[in-house]
This record gives sequence, C-alpha cells and structure tokens, in this order.
Amino acid sequence: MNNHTMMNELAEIDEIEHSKSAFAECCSRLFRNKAALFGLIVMVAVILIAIFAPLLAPYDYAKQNLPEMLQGPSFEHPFGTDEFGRDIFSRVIYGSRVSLQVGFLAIGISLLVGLLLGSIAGYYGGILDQCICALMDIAWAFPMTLIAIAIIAILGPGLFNVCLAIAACSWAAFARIVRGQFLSLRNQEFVEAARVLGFSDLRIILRHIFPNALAPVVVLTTLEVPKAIIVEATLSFLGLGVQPPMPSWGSIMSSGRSFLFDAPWITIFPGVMIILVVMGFNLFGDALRDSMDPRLRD
Amino acid sequence: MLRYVIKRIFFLFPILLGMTVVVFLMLHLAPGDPIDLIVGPNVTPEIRENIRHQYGLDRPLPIQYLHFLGNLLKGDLGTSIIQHRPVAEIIIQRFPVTLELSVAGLLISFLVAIPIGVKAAIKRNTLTDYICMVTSLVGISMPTFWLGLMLLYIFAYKLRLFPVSGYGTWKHLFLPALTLGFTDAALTARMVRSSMLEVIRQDYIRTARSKGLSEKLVINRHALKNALIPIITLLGLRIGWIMGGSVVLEIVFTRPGLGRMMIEAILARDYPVVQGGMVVLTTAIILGNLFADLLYAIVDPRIKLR
Repeated sequence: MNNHTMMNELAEIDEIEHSKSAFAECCSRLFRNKAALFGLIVMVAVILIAIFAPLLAPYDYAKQNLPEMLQGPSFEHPFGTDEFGRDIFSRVIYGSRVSLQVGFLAIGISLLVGLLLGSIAGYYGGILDQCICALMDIAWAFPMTLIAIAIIAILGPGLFNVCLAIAACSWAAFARIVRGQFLSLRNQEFVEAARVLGFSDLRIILRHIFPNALAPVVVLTTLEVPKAIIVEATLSFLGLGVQPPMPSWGSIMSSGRSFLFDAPWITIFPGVMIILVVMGFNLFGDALRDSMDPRLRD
Repeated sequence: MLRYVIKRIFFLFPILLGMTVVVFLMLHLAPGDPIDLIVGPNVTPEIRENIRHQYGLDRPLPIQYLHFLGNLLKGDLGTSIIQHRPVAEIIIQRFPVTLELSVAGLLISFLVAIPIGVKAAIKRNTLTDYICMVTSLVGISMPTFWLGLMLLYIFAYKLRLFPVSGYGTWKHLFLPALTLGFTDAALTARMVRSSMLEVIRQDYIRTARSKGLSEKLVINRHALKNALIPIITLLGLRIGWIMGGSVVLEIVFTRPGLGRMMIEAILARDYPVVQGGMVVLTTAIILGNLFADLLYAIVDPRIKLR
C-alpha cells in the first residue's frame, strides 16, 4: 500500500469517528467504487427487466413461428430465433424471471435455515453445536451441483424443487458465518448485561446479538445469489430444472446445444446474460464486503 | 503424525456410513411406490407383490438398509432397471472416463492459477494485476458448460482442431479439461493472490529481503512455499467441485463417464444406477478430502499440535 492511499484511509477512519455514521460512511465508500456501481446498475437493471418482461419482450416467448426458425440475429430478432422460430430476445427477457426467482427464493430458504441453525449452534454450543457443525461439514464437503442433482433425482424437476436443491447446500455457508458471529458476540459485555437483566434467550438472540451479526450475512447473501443462478442454469441445461415452455437461461441453452453449430446464437446470448448478471452480483458483493470492513480488503 | 492420520481415517467411517444412509433412502424418499419404477403401472397386483418380495421391498426399512450395506461391502451395487446389467460393471467401465477428466482439469487449473495468482500479487495494483483479476472475475461468473459449448463451437467446429465428441485420445480430452481447468483456475488464482499478499507482508519476508536476497529468491523460496499452504486445504474442496464440473461437461462433450450415466439414469428413473453413481462419486470426494488433509499435515507441521 502506498503512502497516498494510506493517508486516504486514515482520513476515512477519521471521518467515521467525527462526522458520518458508519452506515453513511459505508455507502459513500461504496458509491466511490466504480466496480460496485457497475454491479449495482446491473442488479437493478435485471430486476427491472424481470418485473417488466411483458412490456419489454417484443414477442410472445412461447409463440412458434416455423417459417422464421433458426434465423441469425437481425433487426427483427436481435438475438435470433430458435428451432421453433421463437424469438430468443423475448425468451432471454422472460428467462430473467426464472433466474431471479430461483436465486432469491433458494437463498431466502438458505438464509432462514442458516440463521436458525447457526444462531442455535453459536449461542448454545455443546452437543447441539457439534451436531450442527457435522451437518455443515457434510454439506460443505460436497459440490453444490452434485447434491442438487441428487435431490432433483428424488424430488423430480421443477422450479421449487430446484430452489430446495440449491438451499440444501448453501444453508451451510450462512450457518457457518452466523455461528462464528454468535461465538464472538455471546460473551461480550452487552450480552452479559442483557442476561443479568433477565431477558429471555430469544430476546437476547433477536434483539441484541442478531443486529450485530447482520453485516457479513448481507455480504454473503449478495455472493450466494449468483451461485444459485449458475446452479439453476446448470440444472436446467441438464434437463433437471424448470420445464418447458417456461424459458430459463439454462433451458434455452439446453435446446441450443442441439443446434450449436448451425445456430450458435441460441446458446451465446443467454450465457452472456448469465455472465453479466452474476458478475454484477459478485462485484457488488465484493465491494460491499470491502466497504463494510476495510480490514478485509485483500 | 501417525496419530493424526489414524484419527482422521477413523472419522471417515461415520461420514461414509451417513452417506450410504442418504443414498439408500433416495429410492424411498422419491414420491410413489418404488415398485412402479421397476415395473410399469399396468401389471397385475400378484406380479407386483412377487417383484416386491424378489427385491426385498416388503421387509422393514432397517433390514433393507443392512442388506443394501452388506451388498455394498461385497461390491454389489444392484442391477440397472433399464440396462439389465450389474451397476458395478457399468461404473467400472465409466469411472476412468470421469477420473481422467477430473485429474487433467485439476492439473491445468493449478498450472495456470499458481503463476497467475503469484504474478498478480507481486504486481499488485498494476495493469497486469487488473487484467488477471478481471479475467478471473469473468471466469467465476461463467457457467462451466457454457464455456465448454463456446470452445466446442470455436475449436472443434470452426477451426476443426479437435473432435466434437467422444473419448479416447488426448485430443478428446483437451477441450473438456481446458474448460474445467480454466473455470477452476479463475477461483484458485484469486485465492493464490490473496494468500500471497498475506505472506508478502510477513516479517520473515522483510528479513529475507534485508539479507539482500534477490527478489526472485524471496518470492520463489520464501513466499511461495508458505502462500501455497492454504491452497492445499482448498484442494480438498476443489476436488468435489471438479467432480461436479466434469459431470456437467460429460454432457457437453458427449463423454461416456459417470456424470452422463447418472443424468441419463435420473431422466429414465433408473434408481440403482443413480445410487451407485452417488456412492462412487461421494466416496471419491471423501477420499480426495482425506488426501488433501493429510497433505496439509505433511506440509504444515503446525497442524500436528491440534
């Protein structure tokens, strides 16, 4: 680190203490970061695209138009057409709905399970903690794709089952981080004070420890959603995810695979969308982590 | 050291046992009567009961599990419902295909990631660093199968340098291994970079520099060795990831491996094959983790104290 940035950082620390709240400081640091801004714009844009898909899509995503099948990108069809003459651009726009739904729903479930198990393990410790840790280690040791495939094999394909399959692996990441936070917070003075005052465990966990443990959980959420989006695309690509006619980026590529050499555009565009969106979430998540805790910066 | 190894191997058994329970329950957790998966729905109740008895599905679950476990220990993974062949026989045929790809992918990944991560760390905040980190970011954000499809289109179809599908020669292996290696390297390079940055700050690096050693020697002899220790722990986790990746790439590159076998079996509801595949893949991953942990203990003597 050179002198100049060091001075900047000292100035920043000074600022926190004197003028702004920690939250405001975090935000201003975040918005000075161009990568974070890019990530945020991409995230907001894809959410808007998903919400306003019916207005944005020039064609019906399921409407077949056989005379125009397998056409390359053109003015009428910016991303080309598939083997049924369906407009890829419209299908990609609608596909964002599936990706975001799965991303948020799956990570929402993981978040709930992770918070619950993580706080129990961290707060109470003992044998309960050991059991939960063993479960975490198992979920941690196996790759998301494989666990997800196994769960789909049991439950069958479908949007909600894909969410469950993803949640079955990613809850462990949340549990681990929440547990760590609780372990370090549970013996702090303010928690002792709450205990002395005779508050119930539930109140101590929810009102006193939880708000202090939130920051890394928010960061983790931003970094886990893109993973869920990739796993959903992979499962749909394998034919184990969302079923037709609902388009998902993965299932568009799955059908595109059969026409890869004659109509590569079917496969190229959904993939580019995934890269953009996942990159947006990752950039924002990384920047969020850095700005919440400058010590974690590399 | 020996005690650590014994302890670590001892802990393997509950995990392996737990895994077999889960895999065993797969068949029973699936909605519907398992019999429907073996025979069609249009069979007389008499024949159904006969088959139920023949497969032992009329016995209590714990007994069925012990039977399953016993067979597993004998190397009997059941019979494929579709192919009417022993599952173990199919797996023996297919496992080398998956193993070959995983090992090649892991090798490429480390060969690419270590030099790039080190370079990016040494040249921190320069153009080289930014290019490496942006490439790595794009790599992490990319679905493995999509990169595979793109490489397939460019190198196998457009340039005709490699075969489009199949298995056997190094030419068949190259594209899938490159795909797997690149996406894995994207993550590993980031880890190497931050681990290296961590080490470069240490006092012993300053000591080495102040002794007047050349920068090359400081980096290669003093810094790199220590920076790679956390990467070895990572290796354990990467083995599972790599296996998952090769499962998907077998579909893209039409390789007759375990992953392809399992996906086909899931779509055909051929549960014994799915179960067999899961047992073999998870065992491979668990043993891989063990290997990485032991390697870690050898490289880092501090671990023995724990």
